[in-house]
Amino acid sequence: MVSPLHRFANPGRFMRLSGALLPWTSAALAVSFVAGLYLALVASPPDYRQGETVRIMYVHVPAAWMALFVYVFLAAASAAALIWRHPLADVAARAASPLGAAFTAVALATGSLWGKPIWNAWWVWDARLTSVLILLFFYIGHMALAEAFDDPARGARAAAILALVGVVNVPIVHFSVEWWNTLHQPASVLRAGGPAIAAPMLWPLFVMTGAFKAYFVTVLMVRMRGEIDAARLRALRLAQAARAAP
Amino acid sequence: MSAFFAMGGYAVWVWSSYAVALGALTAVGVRSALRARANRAALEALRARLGRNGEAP
Repeated sequence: MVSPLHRFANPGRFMRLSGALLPWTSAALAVSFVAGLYLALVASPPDYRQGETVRIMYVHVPAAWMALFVYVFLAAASAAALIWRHPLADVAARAASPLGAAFTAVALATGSLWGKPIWNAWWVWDARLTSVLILLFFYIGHMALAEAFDDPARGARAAAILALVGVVNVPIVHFSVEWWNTLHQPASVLRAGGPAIAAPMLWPLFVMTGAFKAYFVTVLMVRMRGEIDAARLRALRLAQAARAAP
Repeated sequence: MSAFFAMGGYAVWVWSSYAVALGALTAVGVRSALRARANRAALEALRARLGRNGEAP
C-alpha cells in the first residue's frame, strides 16, 4: 500500500498531473458556481417561515461542510506526513490549512448574518457555534505553527501533531446539535431518515456544495504547486549559499 | 427586477452573506495564484542565472 502511495506522492509527477488537471477543475468550478448561484438566488423558492433569508443557507451550509471536510483532509495529510513521511503530505497540509480557515470563517460570518434576522442575535455561545469557533482556532494554530520555526520540517511536524489533536473536535462539531440543547437547528440533510429539506432547495444546496468542492480542489492544487516551487527555490538557494561559503 | 434585489426585505442579510462568501474565497484564490506565479517566476529566474548544471555562470 505504501509503495504506490509513495510513487504517486512524487512532486515531479504531481506537478505534471496537476498541470493537466487544473484547466478541467477550473472549468468545473466556473460552471458549478454559475449554476449554483442561479439555482440559489433565482430558481429556488423562499422558505415559508424564513422567507428569502433561507438563501443564505446555500453559502453557509457548503462552507460549514467544507470546513469539516478540509479538517479531515488536513488530519489525514498530517498523519501521512508523520507516519510515512510522504514528500507531498506536508505540502498538502500547508496548502489546505488556509483554505479550511477561509471556509470556517465564511461559515461563521454567514451564520452570523443569518442569525441576526432569524434569532435576533449575531452570536450565541451554544455548542455548535462555539465548537466551530474552536475549529477556526485550530486552523489558525496550524498555520502559525507551520511558520513558527526556521526549519520548515520542524514546523510541519509540530503543525501535524496539532492537526491530529484537533481532529477530536470534528465529531463534536457534527454531533453538538444532538448532544446539547442548541439554538442552532439540528442536522437537516446528513441525518438518519434522509434529508428534511424539500427537493427544490436540496438541489441548489448540492450544486453549491459541488462548486465549493471544485474550488477546494482547484485552489489546493494551485497552492501545492506554489509550495513545491517555493521548496525547490529554498533548496537551490541553500545549495548556492553552501557552495559560496569558504 | 427590483423585487429580486430587495429579497423580500432581507436584502442586507442575503447580499452581505454572498458578498462575504464570494469575496473571501476569491481573495484567497487570487492570492494563492499570485503567490504560486511569483514562486514559479523566482525559481525559473534562479535556474536561468545558475545555468543548466546549477553552477553560477
